[in-house]
Amino acid sequence: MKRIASAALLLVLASTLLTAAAQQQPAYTSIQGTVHALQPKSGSLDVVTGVGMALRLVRLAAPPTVQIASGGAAVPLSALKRGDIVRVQCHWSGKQLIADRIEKVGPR
Amino acid sequence: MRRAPAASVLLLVALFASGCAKPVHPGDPISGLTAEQRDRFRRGRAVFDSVFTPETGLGPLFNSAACGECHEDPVSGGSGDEVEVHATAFHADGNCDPLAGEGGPVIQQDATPALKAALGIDKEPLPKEATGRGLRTSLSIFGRGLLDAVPDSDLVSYADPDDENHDGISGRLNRFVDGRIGRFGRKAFVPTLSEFNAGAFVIEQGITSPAVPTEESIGGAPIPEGVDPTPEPEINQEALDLANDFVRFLAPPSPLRQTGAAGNGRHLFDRIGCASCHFPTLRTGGNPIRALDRKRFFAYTDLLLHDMGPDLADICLGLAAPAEFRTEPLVGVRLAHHFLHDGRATTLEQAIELHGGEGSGARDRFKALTPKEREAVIAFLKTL
Repeated sequence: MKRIASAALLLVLASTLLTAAAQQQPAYTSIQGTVHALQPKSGSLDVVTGVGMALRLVRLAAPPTVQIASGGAAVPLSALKRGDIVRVQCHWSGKQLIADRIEKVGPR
Repeated sequence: MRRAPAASVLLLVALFASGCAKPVHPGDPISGLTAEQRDRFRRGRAVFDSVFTPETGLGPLFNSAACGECHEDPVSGGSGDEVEVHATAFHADGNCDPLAGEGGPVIQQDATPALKAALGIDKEPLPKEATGRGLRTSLSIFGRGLLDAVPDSDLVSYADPDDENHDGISGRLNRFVDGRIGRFGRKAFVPTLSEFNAGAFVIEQGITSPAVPTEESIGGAPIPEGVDPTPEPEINQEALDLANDFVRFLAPPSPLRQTGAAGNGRHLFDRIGCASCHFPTLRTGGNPIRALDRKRFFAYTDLLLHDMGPDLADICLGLAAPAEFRTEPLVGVRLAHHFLHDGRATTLEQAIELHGGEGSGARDRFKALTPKEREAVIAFLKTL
């Protein structure tokens, strides 16, 4: 009986912690913003997004498999530059945001 | 700058002539709201005036404890004597870094006791990366819902970035980080009023909402453990929507009667070229809210960026270079005590004389007027 109660308590605690973690990470599935920095070699992309004057820097991993499009054509990550507007489809993997598809919407 | 169509001049006369209509006082809602919308306006004002404490979510960094603390004179939604600090980095390649990774462009000037105890700071530190720092006064927000309802296509039609008509005035659009056309804020950076408000809750008061569920960082560093224990979001969607409705439904106050010198000043204002940027009226587009649907209203702005010369330059933001500012809406300017983006002018005459860049032609023509004519222009402005 004692063992069942302990297991139930652990489950409740784990569920609470997972919920709290999920609440801390905004569940982006798509973001649109300005390229702030990119590291083609390490596959890292920083995008400025936000609401009003509350701006946020979002760091994404851009794995070699990521699809990047500009004007309908496929381009490498290095074709992007600071100041470009991009729309990124992405998902969370642990604490990291992974880009699945990047579309250059245009220069600002 | 492409001029407002001649038809708007006739409408302007009609608007001024409608003096028999009930005057709208500062703080009144726009006319034509439904009973439900008036109720939301009233309840929204209560949210706007709510004073937050650390226990209800204030901070840990903030500029004020309530919207109504900075927008208070002569009523909620008016101007305030607070001056805030903004900073960005302008790069040689023309890109503007809003310092999002360092806590954003608004540098909060106050901190909760818990943050002071944890980090020993009483305000947000100015990022080392900043290349420019600007002061911003708290202006009145009357009539902003009408400005919000002007179609983007109108702004596009007013812009003349290459000064194709050679009048010395260009006027160009700013764009938000996601590429949308901006119009709110001194640099016309923010596209919509509701986004401006949601952002303001968190940057000015440290109040998170479903629209902005994360706090500002402390100059890019995370908030120390235990300093902000209030669960996010600190206000719910309904409170945010009510505050939005209060701001959206705040009417621009009616201009005072323009007789004698003020009437002459209105013509001079147009003749010397002030109206080339300070468009007297704008028109809203189709809108589901009847009171905002296809309404012509006094605005005295074109919502575009203009180069105001190196003496006024401070920070970049979006596409706006340090010297570029949005044409300030002059509605309610009679209620203001300080003028220009940083409040450096204490009289309207000073404010005009400090116009540079694209505003220098109108400024010089103003200075060339006789003293009586200059007084007439000022008398006109004091009716707005």
